[in-house]
Amino acid sequence: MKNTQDQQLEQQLKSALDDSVETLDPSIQYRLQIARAKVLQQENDILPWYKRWAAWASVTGLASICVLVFSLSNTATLFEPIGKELTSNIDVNVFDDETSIELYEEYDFYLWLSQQEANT
Amino acid sequence: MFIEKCNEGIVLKVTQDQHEALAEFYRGIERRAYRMAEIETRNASDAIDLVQDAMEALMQKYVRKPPEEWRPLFYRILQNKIKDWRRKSFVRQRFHMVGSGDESEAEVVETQIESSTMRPEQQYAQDISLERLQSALNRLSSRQRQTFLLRIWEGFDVAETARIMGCSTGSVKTHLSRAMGVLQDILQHYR
Repeated sequence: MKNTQDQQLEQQLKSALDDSVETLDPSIQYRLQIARAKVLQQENDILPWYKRWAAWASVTGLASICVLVFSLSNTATLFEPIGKELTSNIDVNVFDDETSIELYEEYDFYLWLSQQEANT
Repeated sequence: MFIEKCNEGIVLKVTQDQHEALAEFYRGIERRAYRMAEIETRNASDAIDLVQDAMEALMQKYVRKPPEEWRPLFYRILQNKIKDWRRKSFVRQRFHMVGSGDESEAEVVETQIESSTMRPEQQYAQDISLERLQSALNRLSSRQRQTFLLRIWEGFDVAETARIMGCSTGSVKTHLSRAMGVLQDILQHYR
């Protein structure tokens, strides 16, 4: 419970504060009016939250589409076998001929045979 | 508030009445809010900036709340802005202390000149009470000062004050009790 002294003090302090507001310098009051007008003017310029979200969603969607198009245009080269260029010039017909295979398997024998013929 | 259909779909629109209500609300509260901010900052420009920031924040985030909720919301925003200001100014002061002492003295003088917001003819008559009041309020901690201004000057009840300050009702009562004790001691000493 508040005593009389406390109540009196509260009243005095409130009055002092109220007076200080009533006698505010005109230059300060003017600056406050300008600040208020600026704030209220901004209300007309602010995008509502749903428009902001729509704008961000549009930008994100567009960026995603660009990335997708770019990646799809390079997809064929991505799936080409690695080393295709390396192997494309190699002649793969070396082992097609059965005679050639036999030659390589019996290479040591034919080498010895040719050396014998050379000695005789 | 009304809902209207337009080419973009259903749109929630702030009515002209709401805009006018907000303007009227700001007109009624700006000077008291300024005084509250100026007691904390002791600088007129900073106080005006804080009030403007609080008005902007209320308009951007809470304009669609019922008008009876604007006042406690506004003061809550203002107190948060003051808290942020205090943190920044503490950092700024630390940097100034590293610099020359002459500069900080000049700043103090400039602050004192700018914080004098009384009309000249009123200044002498009011000087004693406002000066004493400011001096007494400066002796309080920031929380005690906040509680005093919101409870006693603005007339918020304990629960509303606790919501604005973001603390418990018990804390509000403690802060206020201590604030009144300090103010009682200081102002009795002046008498």
